[in-house]
Amino acid sequence: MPMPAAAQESNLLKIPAVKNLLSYITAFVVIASAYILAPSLSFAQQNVSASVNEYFRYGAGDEVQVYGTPAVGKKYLENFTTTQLTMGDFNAGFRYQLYDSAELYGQKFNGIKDAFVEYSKDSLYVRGGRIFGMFGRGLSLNLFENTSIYYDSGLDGLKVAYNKSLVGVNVDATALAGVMTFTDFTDPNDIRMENYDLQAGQIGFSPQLDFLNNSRLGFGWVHATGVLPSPAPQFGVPDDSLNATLPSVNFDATTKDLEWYIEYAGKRTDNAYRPENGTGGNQWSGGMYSSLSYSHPGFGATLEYKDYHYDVVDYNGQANQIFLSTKALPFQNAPTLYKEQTYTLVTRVQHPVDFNDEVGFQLDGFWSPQDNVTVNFNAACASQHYAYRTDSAGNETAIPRADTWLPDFNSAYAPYYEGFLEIEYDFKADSYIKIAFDRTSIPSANALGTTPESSTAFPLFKGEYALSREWGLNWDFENQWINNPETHSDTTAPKFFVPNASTYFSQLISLGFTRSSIGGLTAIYEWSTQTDDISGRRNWFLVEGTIRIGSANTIIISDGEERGGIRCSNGICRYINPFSGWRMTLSSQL
Amino acid sequence: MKKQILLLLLLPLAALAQQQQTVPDVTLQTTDGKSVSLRSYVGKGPLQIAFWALWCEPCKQELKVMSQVYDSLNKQGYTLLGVCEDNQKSMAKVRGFASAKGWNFPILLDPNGDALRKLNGLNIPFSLIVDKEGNIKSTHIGYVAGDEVPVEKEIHELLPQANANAGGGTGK
Repeated sequence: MPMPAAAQESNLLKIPAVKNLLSYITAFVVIASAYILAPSLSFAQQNVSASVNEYFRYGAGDEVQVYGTPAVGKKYLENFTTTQLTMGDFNAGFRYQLYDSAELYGQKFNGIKDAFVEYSKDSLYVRGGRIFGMFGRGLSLNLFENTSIYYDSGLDGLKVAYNKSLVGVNVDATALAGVMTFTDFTDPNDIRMENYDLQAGQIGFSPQLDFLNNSRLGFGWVHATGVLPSPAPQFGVPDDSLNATLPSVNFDATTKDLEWYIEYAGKRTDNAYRPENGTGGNQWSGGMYSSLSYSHPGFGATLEYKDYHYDVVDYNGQANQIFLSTKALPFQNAPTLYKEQTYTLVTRVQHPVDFNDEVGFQLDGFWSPQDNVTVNFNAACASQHYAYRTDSAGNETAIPRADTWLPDFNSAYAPYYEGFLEIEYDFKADSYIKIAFDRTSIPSANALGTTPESSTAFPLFKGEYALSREWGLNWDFENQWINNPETHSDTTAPKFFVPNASTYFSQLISLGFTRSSIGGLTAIYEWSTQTDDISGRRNWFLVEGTIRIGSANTIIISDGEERGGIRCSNGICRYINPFSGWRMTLSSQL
Repeated sequence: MKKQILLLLLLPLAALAQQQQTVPDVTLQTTDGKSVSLRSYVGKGPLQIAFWALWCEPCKQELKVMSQVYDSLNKQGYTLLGVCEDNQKSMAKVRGFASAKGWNFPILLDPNGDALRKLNGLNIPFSLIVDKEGNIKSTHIGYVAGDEVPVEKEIHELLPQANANAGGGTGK
């Protein structure tokens, strides 16, 4: 017997694909309506304003996920519509977010995120809902979100901040409390959810002193209880709970030319599970960061030092560190002390910072001998605190570094170093050229610390030339030699490109035109002598077009092959798979 | 269905977005550590709030060009404000960089992105032109060579002198 039409319709709506389609159609209609109808509507409210921004990404093509396997079809769709409504001293907002699926890890989500209400008047600030924040430089608390690497340590809770001047001393205080569900993508094949209940507070005192432009002494306190999922539930290993307390102190002093900052944040973990004894215990650890900056017209330099020892463990411990309750927790994110590069090839060899166990320096500076010439320089180095040796009886010994506070460049300490020099010449408004050199060495695997990978990049040659007030030409030319005993190179290539079997050469050439107010077109070509790239390719070609509609809407469409590689932000790195296909991104500010 | 209903809420909000927005009350830090309100820069004349970061090449290009506009129009009431979105790891370098570039306009630090969030900015480069009453007149995302031309024109139209010539209006 045929089904009644209403029942057929009802069943049809239960089919996931149809439900999804309806969901997208609704989203499309609403978002399109926002663009089309908004200007014709009027809400004449005094002291009320709202803003909406829209970020939409779609990609379709093929992706290589595992070395040696064929590419598989890949489609992703992401939408972020962020709205805010301001009424007098109140501000509220939320984000409509859709993942189907997300570019990086194929996550699915359709709903509201990051809803909040905040009140701000005079010296008082109160926010409920989704909250972010940082104490000092982030050693004990740094709550932030970066959607490009799917890192989100935002808290759902309440934050209150207040400041007041008392007898010549400005006092500022912040308190916050809430819960966090942190998604850990360290291993994409084992995505873990960690849950935390967090309370924190800080207070700072800034006295008015004649001999200093500014100074501040701050104290912070963070307490968290949490549950870490079991590393092996199939074998009956239970979830682990933690109870951590992180006191911190920081001091900042600024004169006309100098700034000095120092921070120490300790961490006590109660009932911590330790793999070496299989039971709970208490652990005290900590981290220190300091920076000294000098700036003078035409010159600026910053020297930074870090000593992070939140969870110093041996090689076996490092391999399982994400499961340990003693590790640096996701609401902590300290300064990284390495240069976040803008040259494409150099970004492929980046140092993933070990916030649990690292000591190092960075010197970063600028010098302008003339108004139109700038020299940028950067030197950074770091290593682990200990190397480990196991004797014939199986007893392990931790070997400290030769110096108690400097990094050690012996490969057993997993050393990292980088040197960078760039000269920039501005020859007229909107026109410049840059030429740079970079040398980087990173340990291939921190847990082993024996097979460093090094990169030499030269010349890195970037520039822009204004052909007229509207038209511009830009280019990027990069050469890079990577030495890694574990990679294979095309040894038939000329000696200049491939000096030995473990060195491969890559070159990137990019050329683009821009027209202000309209958009631009860029072509990017890359080739390599590496014979075992995960994608199996030796060359990649991509065309990218940008269309601008008004001053606040941009559409970017690209088609071609992308090599993939490491993408890092704040020291947190994610591997992006090689992709071949087209992408579209819409950014709009309504 | 709940999600679709929530989505529908976006429509009136988008309509409200067409209403005049004003500069929010957000406290930021100067490069020498002092706290300052974003609103304290409103009132002198046209204000351009330009979000930037040390890692953002087009942002630095925009500021390089607008710095020259600032040097020539500052006395007439134009203020350029560079709000730096670098996080805590780079904050120490910002003052030295601005000094090395010879930028004379004020730089504020927004390491948590509070100001960018309050102004509902998506990405940088992102800049806003604000009149002397604190109303946001336009927003600009991205920067390529030549984008400064319409921005400069808009600033000239908002200068107190331009308004006086036009009959002493408020620039609206």
